[in-house]
Amino acid sequence: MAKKNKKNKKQVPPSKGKKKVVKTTEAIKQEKPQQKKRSPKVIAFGVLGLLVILFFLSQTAWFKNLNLFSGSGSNTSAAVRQAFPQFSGNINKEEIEFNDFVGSETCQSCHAKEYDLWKKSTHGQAGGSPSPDFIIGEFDGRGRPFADAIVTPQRVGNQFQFRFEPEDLPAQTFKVDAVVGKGHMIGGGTQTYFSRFPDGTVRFLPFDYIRDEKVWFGETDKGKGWIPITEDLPINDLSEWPPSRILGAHLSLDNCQECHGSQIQVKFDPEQKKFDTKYKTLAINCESCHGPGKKHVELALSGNIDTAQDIGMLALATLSKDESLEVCFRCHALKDALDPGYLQGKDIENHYGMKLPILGENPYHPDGRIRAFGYQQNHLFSDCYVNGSMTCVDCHDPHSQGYRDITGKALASPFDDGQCTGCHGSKINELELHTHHKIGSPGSQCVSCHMPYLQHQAMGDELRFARSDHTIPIPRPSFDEEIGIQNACSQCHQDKSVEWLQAKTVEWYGELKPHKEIVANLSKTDADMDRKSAGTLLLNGSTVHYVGHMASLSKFVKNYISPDMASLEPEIVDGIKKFVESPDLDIKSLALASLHLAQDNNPAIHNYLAQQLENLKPEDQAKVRKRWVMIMPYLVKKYEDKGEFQKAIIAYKRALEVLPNNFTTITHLGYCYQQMGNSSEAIRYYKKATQIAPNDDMSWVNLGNAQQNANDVKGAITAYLKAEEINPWNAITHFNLGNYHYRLEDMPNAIQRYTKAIEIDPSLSQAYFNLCRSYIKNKQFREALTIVKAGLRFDPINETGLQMRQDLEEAFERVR
Amino acid sequence: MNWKSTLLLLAIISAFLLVMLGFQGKKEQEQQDRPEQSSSNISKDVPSLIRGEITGQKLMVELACNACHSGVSDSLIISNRAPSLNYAGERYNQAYLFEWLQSPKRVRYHIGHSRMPDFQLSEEESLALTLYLSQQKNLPQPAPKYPKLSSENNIIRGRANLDRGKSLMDKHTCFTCHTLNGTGNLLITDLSNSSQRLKADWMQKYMAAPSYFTGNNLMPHLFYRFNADRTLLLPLFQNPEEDIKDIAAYLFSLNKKEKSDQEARYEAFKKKNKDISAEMGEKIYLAQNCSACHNGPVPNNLNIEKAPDLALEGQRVQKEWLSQYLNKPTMVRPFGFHPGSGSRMPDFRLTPEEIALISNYLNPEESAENKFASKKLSAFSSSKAEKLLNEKLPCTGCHQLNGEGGKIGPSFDQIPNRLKADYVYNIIKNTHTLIPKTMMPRIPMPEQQLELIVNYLIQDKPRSPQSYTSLINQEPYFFGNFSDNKGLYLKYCASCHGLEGNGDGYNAINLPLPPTVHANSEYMTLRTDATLYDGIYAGGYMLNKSNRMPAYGYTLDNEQIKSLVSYLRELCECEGPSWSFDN
Repeated sequence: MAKKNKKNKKQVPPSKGKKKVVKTTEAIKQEKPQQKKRSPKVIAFGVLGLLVILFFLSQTAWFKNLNLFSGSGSNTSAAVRQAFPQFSGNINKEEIEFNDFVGSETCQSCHAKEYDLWKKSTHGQAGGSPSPDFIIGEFDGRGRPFADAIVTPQRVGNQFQFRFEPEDLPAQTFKVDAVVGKGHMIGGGTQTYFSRFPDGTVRFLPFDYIRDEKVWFGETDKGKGWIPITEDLPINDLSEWPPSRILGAHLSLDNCQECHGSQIQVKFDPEQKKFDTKYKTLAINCESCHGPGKKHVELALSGNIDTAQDIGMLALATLSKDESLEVCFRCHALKDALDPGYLQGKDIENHYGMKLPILGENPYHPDGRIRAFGYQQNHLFSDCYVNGSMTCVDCHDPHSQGYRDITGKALASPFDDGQCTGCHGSKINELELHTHHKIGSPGSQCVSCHMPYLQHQAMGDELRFARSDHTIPIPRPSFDEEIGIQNACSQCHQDKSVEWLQAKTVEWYGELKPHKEIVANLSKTDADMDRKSAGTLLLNGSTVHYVGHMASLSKFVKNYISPDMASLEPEIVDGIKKFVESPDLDIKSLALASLHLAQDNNPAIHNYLAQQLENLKPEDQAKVRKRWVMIMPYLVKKYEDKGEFQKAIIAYKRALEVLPNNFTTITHLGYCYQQMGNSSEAIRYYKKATQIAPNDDMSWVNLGNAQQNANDVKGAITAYLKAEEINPWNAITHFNLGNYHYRLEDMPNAIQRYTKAIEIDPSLSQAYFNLCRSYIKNKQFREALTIVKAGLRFDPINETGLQMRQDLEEAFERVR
Repeated sequence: MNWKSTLLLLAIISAFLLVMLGFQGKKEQEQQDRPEQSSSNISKDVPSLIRGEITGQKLMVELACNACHSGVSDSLIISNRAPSLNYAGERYNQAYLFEWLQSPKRVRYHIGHSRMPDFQLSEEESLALTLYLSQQKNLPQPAPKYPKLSSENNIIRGRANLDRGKSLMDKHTCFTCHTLNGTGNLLITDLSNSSQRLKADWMQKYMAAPSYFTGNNLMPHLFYRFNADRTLLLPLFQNPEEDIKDIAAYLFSLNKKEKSDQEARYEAFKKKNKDISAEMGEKIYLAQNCSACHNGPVPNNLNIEKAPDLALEGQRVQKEWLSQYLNKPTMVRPFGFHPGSGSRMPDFRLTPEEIALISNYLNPEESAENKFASKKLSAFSSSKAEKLLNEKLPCTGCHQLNGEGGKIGPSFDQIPNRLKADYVYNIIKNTHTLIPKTMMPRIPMPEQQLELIVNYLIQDKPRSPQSYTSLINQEPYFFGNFSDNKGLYLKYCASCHGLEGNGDGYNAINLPLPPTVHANSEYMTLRTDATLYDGIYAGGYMLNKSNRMPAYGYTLDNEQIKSLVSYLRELCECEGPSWSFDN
């Protein structure tokens, strides 16, 4: 799922997975850096279902018209081929800055009524500083034992802390600096804690508290989901141990995007040589929805606000259906990052692709029900959206977060029928006839059957974390069983079999409403189907259903499209071309990128693509091109996984035709050549990357590794030291410097570097093993044994580690 | 004058007074303070008021406001005062009608303050109505046996003793009640232009037996009397037909040039507009509710609600606007009172005194207490309100905003001058409490939004020009009984969706999206009954369709909406999808 998705990204810098590109010395060649899996964590914050899939492209300012890499990967004659029109730069003006946000207290002075409603709302109480009022977790000084550590949530003076005492290793104390969530959610509310780290980041601590069960719990990466802390649980089973996920978004770190707080900005400060993390508040403030208030406040103070047509704010009540949803989906949605630096008020399409996660490990079942997270965004599959005008604010009052009906009348609870009957008047007078449940009984409530609270599958069963189904389906017990979702009926009727429930449903309602064609087609296609039949089912964009289109096109493209296909049926080309016409830029870009990858050697298709680029509206140029190049890695991931890098290279070279000098694409190319053992090409691309982003330390590390592979030792050390100069807080840099010293047999320096790497990133298991070797070479056997044990906590099945531990233990045995 | 004619004159005068007062009931004691108004500019050919004699209420009875409006006293006199149109084709010169209908002038001086108002008919509309009226040749039955009267041709061509005719008029005491080029007493009509106005045959027949046409009218039998069973006309002296011929021929010898010019203009226009038919005229006759005053081809008391309840007028409109409107009525509802009757508020050519009487009566002084606290909107709030009205709320399905939108109800552009803020607020919030039978749906919304909308609607802004929908291009809708399924559809749906559900209602062309074609079975069979119900209940916006389709869930009850759904199924002759029916 999305979890794996993230891992896949780790293969290629500058995404989070930089560890994998670390090149090791011969001495430790067999030991790959351990992949520490990360589960989608945001749910742990208890408020939002939000996945983080980062994929940053280079800064737009770097998009110059250099054509060094714009050669096509195709080998056909170019006689009649039109060149792709050059990208003339990003015209989307964005002058919004952190200081343009004034904070809710400023808003309060004029908008007291709205402020008061908001202050008490779940947004107003979404997060904050640690204080007795805000904290719901039990910081009682009682130790919570893990299998190999004890965690003690405690209060010392005004401070809230976690005292962490692992076996064998020194104890640590994490001070709570930030709190996210307050256990608001009906289906299971949690609270999450953050601590400020020496590198300037604010990191997510893996000890969460859940309101209803009243226990401390953690997220595990062993397929068990969320489980309470017990003596059976090794600390390293926690996906977020050691703390590495940061608050806010940064291109080179695991992160929570900008959503668990307001206007969170994380920037690396080259002066201070550490990260600068700032935010207005950990609550979700007024400007999160309304955009920056500076201009508005200035106008108000100047007294000219009544005559100004532009008051620096939008009237959110007048937004169209999709515009309105976008305000909420800034946070309440899965999305792929296109470009860093998003702040509310900027054009989100320029920064995020809302439907691109579908191209990864599709987070949705064919009917839109969630596999893992993102339960709000699947509203896009509901009939109320597809055939109606429903937005979030039709039921959710945006200020109070209370419930209301379509006319704006406040409703008592999320279970009030008024949410539905405001539109579905047909059900008011014949309620019992429709529900077959007594009026007033739980089964009579609309939401009991149509928006049941479903346990998030990825959370497991130990702790209740259920969210109401925003696809607003009708109960289909058999179908739900097939896709592995609990059906609404069995929420109450646990004693009844699915067959019984299905029979009852049919007895009451007769023939069930058929799924929408697009959903039915998605269910019908399977891997064995031939390309043409699958095309008929999946490339049918006749009804307006954008998420459905994205899911269908993604499914088709991933299964049936490969680089430089000899031929493609005209029906299929036409089917994909229909999606090129989509107003949805994610769909359009996917259609363009797939034709580009598969059929660029066909001059007619190439020229068609050139024409499409030519025809793009100026404001869409950057958006489509960014998506286009971002989609390429998705399309060739399976080849990279199989080691067929030559095929991946075709995709990345195509990407450079669309967006020349794109940092990510160039880094991908460096990585592919590196993997193929083509050091000179790898060096060429990594050098290019350092030219484009001279302050990206990882590019220097990658360059150093490539140079090391080419036996350019001097070049390598220069590059590593440059990386360290830029950012002394990168564990990988220290790790590679350790390798450098190790190779020179300079054990004290190697030991110092490896130790530093572990200090910065305790999960970097390979550093433990290399440190162990260094200690052995330095004859510090006791230290060697301690450190290899610590390394094996993170990578318990590492053969080299296990071997070294065994050798050391045997040696000690012999000595004794 | 001999004693006979003096007696006759007395009788006529007393009859006249009786008619004037007969139906007005007891004198109201109410004393209206009439503002002093200069009458120096009065050029209208209307009766002058005599101070203290008439109240606003009585004047409205005289004008028969109740013919179209509710909330005012009944006027039983008007059908006695308005001429029968059953035989308008026999009576009136078409060319005269054509021009007179476009700009009626006073003809008859014995009908108190009653008068024929100006319906603001275009030339085309007037032609249609003229053609229709000219077809009406149903003389009262049973008809008496007439003596042989002179041919029309003889009269028009003056084949008679014109000098004798002229002197006979004096002899027959015509000038006791009529005037002719300044001579005589103007108690009934001026005969100066009767050659333009009337047909020669009819003039002779009328002189011979006035009571045959108009019952116990004022015009005495001067030439013939009826026998006992009113089947024969018996001459009162020898050869009265000669006198009739000479008088008629004399009258027809006057204004010959005007008459022939008038006829030439009419014929030319008629020739240019051959597609205009009497049938169109019939629609106009119905639309303007002519039968409310006139006996004629359409029975009285159609019981069509055609105009606003005047009992509410004081709450509704601003005093100044009302005065201006009474002085010169301008279009308020482009296609008449709902649901598209084509009716118009005619111009009664009221004098300033009359306007004051009526407007004081309808619109007592503004009360100091205004419940709605209006507030000047910022530029931003205005554009917000405008966007809500255009894109979210259904209002512009019926009302024009900045020259765009539906033409069922009054244009919003008129509100600032016309309506009181309280009324605007109340008609939106408490629609049916205020006007129980209105077709305007109640659209509930948050108070804050309601106040924004009201403040926007009442704020002054440039107004776009407005005119009535032509009754030539568009057939008015005549809906009688609203209680059955079809009646409900006609009242609430047909204006946009069409009388037969073809999406071609008269208001359809004013909408940005074409209304659903309910007769389209291919489409309608895809919609479930529940969706149809919900669409009616919650409106088009909810269904991702046009926001101009209002939610009727707060206007119609469950049974009514169900009736409409079953009527939609009658129109499409189809059912919803099979899965949509429960077991």
